[in-house]
Amino acid sequence: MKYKDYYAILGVERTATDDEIKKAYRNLARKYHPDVSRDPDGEEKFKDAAEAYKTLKDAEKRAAYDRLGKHPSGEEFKPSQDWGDQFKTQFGDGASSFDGVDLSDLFASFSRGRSAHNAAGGMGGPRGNTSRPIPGEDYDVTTQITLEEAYGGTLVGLNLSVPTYDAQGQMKRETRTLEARIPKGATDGQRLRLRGQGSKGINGGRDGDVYLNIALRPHPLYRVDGYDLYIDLPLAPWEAALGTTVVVPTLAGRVNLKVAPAINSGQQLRLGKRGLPKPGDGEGDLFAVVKIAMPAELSEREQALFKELAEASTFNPRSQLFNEVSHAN
Amino acid sequence: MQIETHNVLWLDATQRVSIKDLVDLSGLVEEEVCELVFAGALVPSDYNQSPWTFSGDCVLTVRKASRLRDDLELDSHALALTLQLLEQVRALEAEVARLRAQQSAVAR
Repeated sequence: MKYKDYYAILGVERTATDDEIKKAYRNLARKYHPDVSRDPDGEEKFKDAAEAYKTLKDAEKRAAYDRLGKHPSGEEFKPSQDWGDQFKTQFGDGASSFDGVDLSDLFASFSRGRSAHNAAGGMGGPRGNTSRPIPGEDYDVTTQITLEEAYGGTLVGLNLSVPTYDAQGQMKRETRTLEARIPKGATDGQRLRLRGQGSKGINGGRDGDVYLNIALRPHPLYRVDGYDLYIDLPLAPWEAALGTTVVVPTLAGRVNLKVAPAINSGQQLRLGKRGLPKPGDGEGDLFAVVKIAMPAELSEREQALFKELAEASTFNPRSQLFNEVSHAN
Repeated sequence: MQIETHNVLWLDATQRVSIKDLVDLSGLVEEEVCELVFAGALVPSDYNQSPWTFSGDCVLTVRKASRLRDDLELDSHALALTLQLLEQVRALEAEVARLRAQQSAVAR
């Protein structure tokens, strides 16, 4: 197993008091708890802090941890036979019995018989001597899918590190691979549940669940708002002035869109039911946001025509600005 | 290797769950779930209808409540306040995302 320096994780001395350990944990929890933090690495940092606190706040576990000695963080090590004899965990019978076990599993196993509580999303699933039902571990997994996959539905592969138990009740972690069928209708931030696909419950406790958080990958064309999609629609100045019919790409294929004359930048043209499908029934809309695009360079003929237009037109796009200023004054 | 394929359940307003479901899935006790309702952090589909039912996304709220209670050692009042503030943050972020989606890419 890999050594973790719980004191360094919490940022305290090895001689820290219980109060100092608690204060350090609370500061880190407020900063990195995944339900409140926007730090992309917050979840991992919080898991480490919670694992460290769970061990160091408990006098028996802290003494056992200290007896492991100090190693460089991340170094592979195995508790000695003496350590296994002194501190009774579910592990330690035989030289290989710590294989496939990590430090958090080792200290979670101290909990057996003391508490059957294993909160949803908790850090581990101790197999206790108690006959009380213990629910299996839940898993929260974020999976990224493309807009096209959200539109048509897709399968996503998941790898879960789940605790398994041998005939002697000894726990090891194994990777379990499964697939989740994401039906069409999932959008960004959608939460889905895979019932009973977390780790197994103990003593009749319910099996854990897998909670999937859907994250849509950014798309080069479309922006997403719930089930509605937005796409920029560039128009030449003369198309915006005179009106036109343009071809717009949608997730279901190309469609013709009629643009009325005298349309402005920023105006939105709605293509009903061309957005993402909604769960159950219905679809969102696709909005084409008009963006008047100028050529990078104008030919002599184009310049001449624009000059002619400028001379012929009485349109002043800034008249409102001056009206507002004169009213204000 | 045979890989099992599983169907998912929606956790949104199209689903209804009971208070027992919320208790089973969160690790909270029923009194704690009721306190969240009384504090306004959890809203039943029909407050006056007994027994209460909730939309599927309330499963996420009570699981979050359970994590915050355990990890930040919050009492019920602090828990309800934290959930309400987090919901306000979520709503504001959704509004920002909606406005960004509506803006032309050039304007952003």
